[in-house]
Amino acid sequence: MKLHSVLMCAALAVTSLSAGVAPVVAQDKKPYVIYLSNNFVGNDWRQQMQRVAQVSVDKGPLAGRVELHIEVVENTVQAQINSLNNIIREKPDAILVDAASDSALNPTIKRACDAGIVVISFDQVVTEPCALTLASNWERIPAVMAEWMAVQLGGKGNVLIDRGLAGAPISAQLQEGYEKVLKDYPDIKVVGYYNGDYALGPEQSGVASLLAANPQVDGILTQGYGSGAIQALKDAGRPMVPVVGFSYNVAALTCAESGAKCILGSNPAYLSSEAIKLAVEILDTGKRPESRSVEIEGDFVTTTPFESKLFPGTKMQTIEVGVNAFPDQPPGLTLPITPDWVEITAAEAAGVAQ
Amino acid sequence: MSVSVAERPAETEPARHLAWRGWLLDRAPFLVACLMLLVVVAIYGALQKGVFTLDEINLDTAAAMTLILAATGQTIVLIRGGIDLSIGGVISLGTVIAATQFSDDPLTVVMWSALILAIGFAVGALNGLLISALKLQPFLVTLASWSILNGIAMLILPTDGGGVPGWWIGFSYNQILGLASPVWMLIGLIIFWYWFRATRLGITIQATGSNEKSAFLSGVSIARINVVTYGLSGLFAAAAALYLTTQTGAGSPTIGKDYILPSVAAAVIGGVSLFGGRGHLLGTVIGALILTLIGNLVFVLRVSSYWQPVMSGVILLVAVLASSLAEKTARGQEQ
Repeated sequence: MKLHSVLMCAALAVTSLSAGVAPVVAQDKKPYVIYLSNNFVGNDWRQQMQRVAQVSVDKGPLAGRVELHIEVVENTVQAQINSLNNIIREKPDAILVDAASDSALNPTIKRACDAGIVVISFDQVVTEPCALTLASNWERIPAVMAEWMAVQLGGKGNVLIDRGLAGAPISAQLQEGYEKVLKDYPDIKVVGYYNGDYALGPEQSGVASLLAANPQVDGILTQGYGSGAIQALKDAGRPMVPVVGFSYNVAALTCAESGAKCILGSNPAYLSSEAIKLAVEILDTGKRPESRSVEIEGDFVTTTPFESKLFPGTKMQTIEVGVNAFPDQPPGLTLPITPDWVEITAAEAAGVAQ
Repeated sequence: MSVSVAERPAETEPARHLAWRGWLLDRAPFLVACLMLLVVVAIYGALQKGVFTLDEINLDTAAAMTLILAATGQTIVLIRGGIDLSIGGVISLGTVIAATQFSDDPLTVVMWSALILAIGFAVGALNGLLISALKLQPFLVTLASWSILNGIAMLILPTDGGGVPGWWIGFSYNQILGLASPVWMLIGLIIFWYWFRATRLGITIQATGSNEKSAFLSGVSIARINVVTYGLSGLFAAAAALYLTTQTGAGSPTIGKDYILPSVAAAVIGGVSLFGGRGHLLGTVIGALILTLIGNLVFVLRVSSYWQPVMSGVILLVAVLASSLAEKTARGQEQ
C-alpha cells in the first residue's frame, strides 16, 4: 500500500467529520432512565425475564416512572463491555446487569458506579462490590424441597438424586443442598444418581435406567423439569412417587395430570422486575439496602403444601390448572409468573399478549 | 519519424490510464473498507453527540484494541496464505495465567507478561513447525492447538476469576497528549507494520503467500517462514490477552473463542486476501474499527441488537464482493 491510498482514506475521513451533525436529545425530567443489559437470550427464562421487565414498567405502581431500555449482547464478555460503555455514556439513572461473567465485567461496572449510576446485577451476578446483587436464595430452594420430600416419605425410603450438569457450580450447589438436609433422615437412602442436564431427554433416560436397577424407589429429586422423571415412572409401569423439580409450566401441568405429588422450586423470571423496583426505590430514597446482596424468595409451586421448619414462613402455591399452570401456554414458561406488587399475566410473560 | 511522433502519445495515454486503473483496482478492497468506515462514522456521528472528539477516539480504540491485536497476527498469517484458529486458545490461556500470577509487584507483572508473550510465540512457532514438517492443513493444526490450549486454560482456572492489580486495569485510561495508551499502541503498531513489511522477512512472507512454489524455487525456506509467521501470530494473540486483562481485570478460560472469527473478518473487511499475498494492517485496523463501531451504531439507532451480526455480515459480504470484483477486473485486463 502506498502513501496515496492512506492519504485518500484520511481525506475521506476528514470529509465525513465535517458531515457529522450533533443531535439534540430532548429529555423529559420525570421518569428514571434504566438500562437492562442482558448477555444471552438463548433460553426461555431469559426471554421471559426481558418481557416481564417491560410489562412491569408499563403498568402497576411503576407505570410512567421508568424509561426502560433493554440491551441484548451476543453472549461475549467483550460485547457486554462495549455495550456497557455505550450505556455509561448515556448517563442513565440505573443499570441492571445479567452478566456474561461474574468477574470480567468488574472494571466496567466500577466505571459505571464511579459515574454515579446505580448498578444492580441480577440473576448472573458480579463480584464488583459497588454493584448490588439480586438473585434467588439458592440455599433455601434445595433445602425446602428436600425437607418436603422427607415429610412426604415419613422420613423413610429410597430416593434418586439428579446431579444436574457436570461441572456447573449451580448443579453441585443444588445436589449438596439436597444431601445436606437428607443427612438428617438416616432412614432415607440415596440409591442412585444421574445427570439430568436440565433437559427432558437426559432426565427421563437417567431415571429410567435407575428404576430398572432399583426395584424400590420412593422419591426422585430432580434439578430439572420433573416431568421427565414422571414419564419414566409411567413407562416403567411403576406407581407415582413424590417428585422434586423446578417450576416450569410443563412440570406443573404434568404433576397435576399424573397425580404425582410434586414440589417445584422457583427461580422466578421476574427477578428483572424486582431489580427495576429496587433501583427505583434506591433512586427515590437515595438509600441503598444495608446488605449488598438482596435475595428473592419465589413461591414454591406444589401439589401438596407444607410448613417448612428449616425456613419458616416459606410460601407455597398449590398447583391449579388455569390459575398458576397454563395448558395453553408454552411448556418452558417459568412459574410463578408475577410478583405480588404488579399483575403480569401468563400471556404477557409468554409474549403472546392480547 | 512522423509516424513515431504521432504514435507516442497514443501509446502512453492508455498506458498511464492502465497504470492508474491498476493502482485503483489493487487498492479497491481497502478503499471500499475506508468508504464503509466513513458511512458508519457519519451515521454514528449524526446520531450521537461528541463522536468527533479525542474522548471518542480513546474509547473506541480501547474497545477495539483486543481485536486489533488479535487481527494483526491473523493478518500476517493470512498474507502468508494460512489461517490461525489457535489465537483463541492463546488468548484464553494468556488471560488465565495473568489473572492467577500477576501480583501488585510490577516486576512480577513484567516477568509474567514476558513469559506469556514467549508462550504465545512458542505455541505459534510449534504450529508453524507442525504445518511444515507434517505437511498438514493450517486449519486443522491450529484447530487442534486451540482445543489443547483451551483445555489447559480450563485446568488452570475452571471458571472466570482471578485478578490483576488495579494499576494494570488503569493502563488503558492513561493519557499522553490527550490520547489514551491504546491509541499510542495503535500508532506503534502501524509504525511497526511499515517497518516490518519492508524487511526481508516481511517481503518473503508476502511472496510465499503469493506463490509458495516460486518462493521455494527462489530459495525461501518454507518451514522457517511458517515458524516465524505463526510465531508472530501467537505473539500478537498473547499481547491481545494481556491487553484484554486490562479491560476485564480477570481471567477467563473461554474468552478467546470470541476473537477467532472476528479477527479473520476484520482482516477480510480490510482487504486482506484469504488466498494469501495481499493485505495491509491499515485495512485490518479499519476492519476491526468497523466491527466495533457497528455495536455503537446499533446502540444509538435504538434498534434490536440482533442487527449487529446482520450488519457485520452484510459489511463482510460487501468487502468480499469488492475484492473479488477487483480481482476479476484486474485479471480481465491482464488478458
